Amino acid sequence: MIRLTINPLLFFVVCCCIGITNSLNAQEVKNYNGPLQIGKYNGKAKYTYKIVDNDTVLDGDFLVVRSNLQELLQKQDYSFQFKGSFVEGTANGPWKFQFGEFNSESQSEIIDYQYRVLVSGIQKSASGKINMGKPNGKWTILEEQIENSEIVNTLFKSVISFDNGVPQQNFSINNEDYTLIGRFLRDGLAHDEWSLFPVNGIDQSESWFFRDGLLMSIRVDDDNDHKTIQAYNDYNGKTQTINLNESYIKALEIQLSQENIEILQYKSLPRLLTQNANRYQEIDAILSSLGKSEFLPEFKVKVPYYPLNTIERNSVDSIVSFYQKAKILSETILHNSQLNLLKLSDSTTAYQYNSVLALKNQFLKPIKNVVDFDSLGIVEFAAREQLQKHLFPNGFPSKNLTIEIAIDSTTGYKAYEIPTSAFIDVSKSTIENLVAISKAGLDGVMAIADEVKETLAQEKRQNELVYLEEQIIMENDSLIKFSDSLLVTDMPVLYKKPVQHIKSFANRTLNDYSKVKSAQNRLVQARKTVTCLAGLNQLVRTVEKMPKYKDTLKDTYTDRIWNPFMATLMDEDIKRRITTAYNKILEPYFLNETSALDCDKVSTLNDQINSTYLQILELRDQETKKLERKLKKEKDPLAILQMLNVQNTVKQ
Amino acid sequence: MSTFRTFQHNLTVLVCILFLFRVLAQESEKVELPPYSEYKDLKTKTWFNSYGNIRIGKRLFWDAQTHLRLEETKETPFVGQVAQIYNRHAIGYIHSKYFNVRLGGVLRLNFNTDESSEDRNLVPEWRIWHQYQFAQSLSSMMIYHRIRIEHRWTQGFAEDSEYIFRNRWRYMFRMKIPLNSHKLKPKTLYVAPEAELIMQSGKAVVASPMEDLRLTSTLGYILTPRLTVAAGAMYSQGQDLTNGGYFKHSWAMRFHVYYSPDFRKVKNKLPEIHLTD
Repeated sequence: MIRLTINPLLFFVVCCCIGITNSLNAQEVKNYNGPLQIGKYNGKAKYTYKIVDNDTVLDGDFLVVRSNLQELLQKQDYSFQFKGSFVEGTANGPWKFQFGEFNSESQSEIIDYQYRVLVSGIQKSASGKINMGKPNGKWTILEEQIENSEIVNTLFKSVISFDNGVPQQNFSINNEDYTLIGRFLRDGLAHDEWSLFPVNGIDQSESWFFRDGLLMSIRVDDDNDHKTIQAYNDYNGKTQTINLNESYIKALEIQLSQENIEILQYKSLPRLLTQNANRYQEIDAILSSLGKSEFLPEFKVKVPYYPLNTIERNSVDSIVSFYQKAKILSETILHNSQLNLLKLSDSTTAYQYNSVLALKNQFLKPIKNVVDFDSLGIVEFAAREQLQKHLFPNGFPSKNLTIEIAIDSTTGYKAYEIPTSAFIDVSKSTIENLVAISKAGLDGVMAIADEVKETLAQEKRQNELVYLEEQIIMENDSLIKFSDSLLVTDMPVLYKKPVQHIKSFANRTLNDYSKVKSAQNRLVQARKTVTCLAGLNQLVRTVEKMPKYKDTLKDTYTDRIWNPFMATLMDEDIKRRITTAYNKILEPYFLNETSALDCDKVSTLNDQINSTYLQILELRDQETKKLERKLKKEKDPLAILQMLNVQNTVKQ
Repeated sequence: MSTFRTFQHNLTVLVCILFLFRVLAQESEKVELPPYSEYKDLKTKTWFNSYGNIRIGKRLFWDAQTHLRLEETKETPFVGQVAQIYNRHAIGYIHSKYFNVRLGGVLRLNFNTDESSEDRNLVPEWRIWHQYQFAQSLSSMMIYHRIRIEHRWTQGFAEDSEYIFRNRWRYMFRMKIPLNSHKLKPKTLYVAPEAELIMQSGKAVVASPMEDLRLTSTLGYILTPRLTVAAGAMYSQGQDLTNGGYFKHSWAMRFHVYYSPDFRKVKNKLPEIHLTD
């Protein structure tokens, strides 16, 4: 009994062992040694991997290199080397990335029985540790200029310590112009003093003071003076954590006075950070294409947060919408060549034009900033009063403008009041006033656009008319040239007559057009004439094809049949009622129609001829007994066209 | 008219003599040739012939001919009375534009035109036939050589007459010459001279191998590729079976209708190759 109990247990254990072995076998690590393309990098790779669910998952050491001596000697070579290791498809462990672009001036030296080629160019490198896809520990990124195989200049260097992807402690970033040194808190927020030194030692240096990510102040030092610019020093309300990037700088700008903005070299700071981010981005791209990666350092800062409520949010949306309409209209007016010319001689136009210009400068330009802030998502990072002060340092614009009119070197002024219901009032909220200003701007531009509408339209018409008249000449020339060339060929007279008709009708149409005097009618007539002449051009080309149509139909409706009594092949006309209807009724009708043309009929006739031809071609192989019976008695071309379904086709 | 009466009279006499000879021959089985060959009385005949040629495939056709042949008698001079109704059928194969063959059978109904005869009025005649026709074009006309071989079983009108078997060897030379056109095509009038020699063999053929020599001239008109009509005159002469010393000869008016319908679906009839694809 005991043996019986143990045996199934043993069996189970054995099964488990086999199962595990099998699954281990399935995940067996394999080696690869061969070419590999990673994004734009194409090199020789050596790595280990396993297959999981039919996917290649990198696991173990990884190396990919490229360098080409031949190319280097000829002109230039790009080389790279990526070395590290993966765990289950995620980068893990020490890594080193090297990119180089070198050329050699074919200088070589022999050292220790080896040829050495001296290279010049730029070498970029990045090295550090990665913990499951995230930078961990100290990462050094370098860009160095190499001349004759020696480093002559460091173009960029960044040293940042990470803890599982979060920047920690001290960091330094420098390029050719500046060095930035700073410190992070454990959660990656900027803290304490961030110093920006000029490499040349002449320009001013800046110190940005952060507290818990919030920028307190910036101290600017130069040779003989120093100045402290207050940032969010006094703020102790709600904050939001964002990345230190250009948007942050824009938000900061709202906070600062124009004077201070001009003092600061601060733009160097985000530039350095961007340069740094780009390097990390390059590495992330490589790692991402090989497996999972989150290799992006994020420098966090805090900004004051003044959230928009629903009503304010909607208001900002209206501002954007008003601005966009006003922008299109004002640009149309300001770029209209007619108005630009007229404003030099006509005081009314000058007044209108300059009013738009004033609206653009005083109303639309500040509003454009709001629209930009909104697209960057930083409207909520500035106090409303601060925003207002930044946009309108000299207060809100007035609905009553004074417009300068300068004609023939005499300058006059004229008042302009924007006809708008929008009401700007300091007692209202900033957002409400921004809505009012954007609406006033739009109303103003719209009112003037309405006044100059006729001028705008006139120019449009003028341009169209010029274009149309060019078309008329072109179509007419083409028609005459084509018709004349037809009339000297050996085309049967039967078809030459219609060509003559079409040609003389085109001439009449052109004459009629030239008699139109009123500008308004002229445009309408020009459009009609172009269409008409284009139609005639098509028609005359169709008439040219009609003898071919007839021949093709004859051939199509001829069967070569075997006459057994004569032992010869004979042509047999088949479905004669159909061909007869075409030859005896439809073709004469079409040709005759050209003698009584009018512009409305031209394209219909052309379509009729072509569709009839195509339709009859198709009928060759169709069952047509019924149609043939009907055709027997019918003599009316229109009725026949209807039978052939041509009339309908044309109407459609 | 008097001429025809004379002919009729002579014919009756001739038939009587022939009958007498036959009886004598049967009795004595001895035929005596005349010292010089002699023509029998001239006969006139009228033939109405229809020739059908029905396409049944890319290269196969059904040859369907029905002829009505009249022969003059004493009562019905010149045009004559019904002598034979002729059903000739075959399946043909078009090898090329210039050569075709056909094989089939004939059922000919022979009517007794002898008004005085007491014998059966109608006896059938059976044939198996095959034909090889070569065509060639020469300038605007066409030339045809036709070899037709027939195996025929015939019997007399007498109640107890037995079938006799003979082979017929026929060769015909024919031309078709368009008159108002440069080739044979619809709306063309053409003239067709032809000569056919019919030889025969078999136990019953002792001294009369030349059964018939037919010289014909026909005027035809091609109405459509599928329909042609023609009419002509034929002179023929040949040895009498029972006595090779006597020659029959006759004049025949012939009227022909040639039709060649094609009931195949249009999509099966490709141009030109209707024949050679």
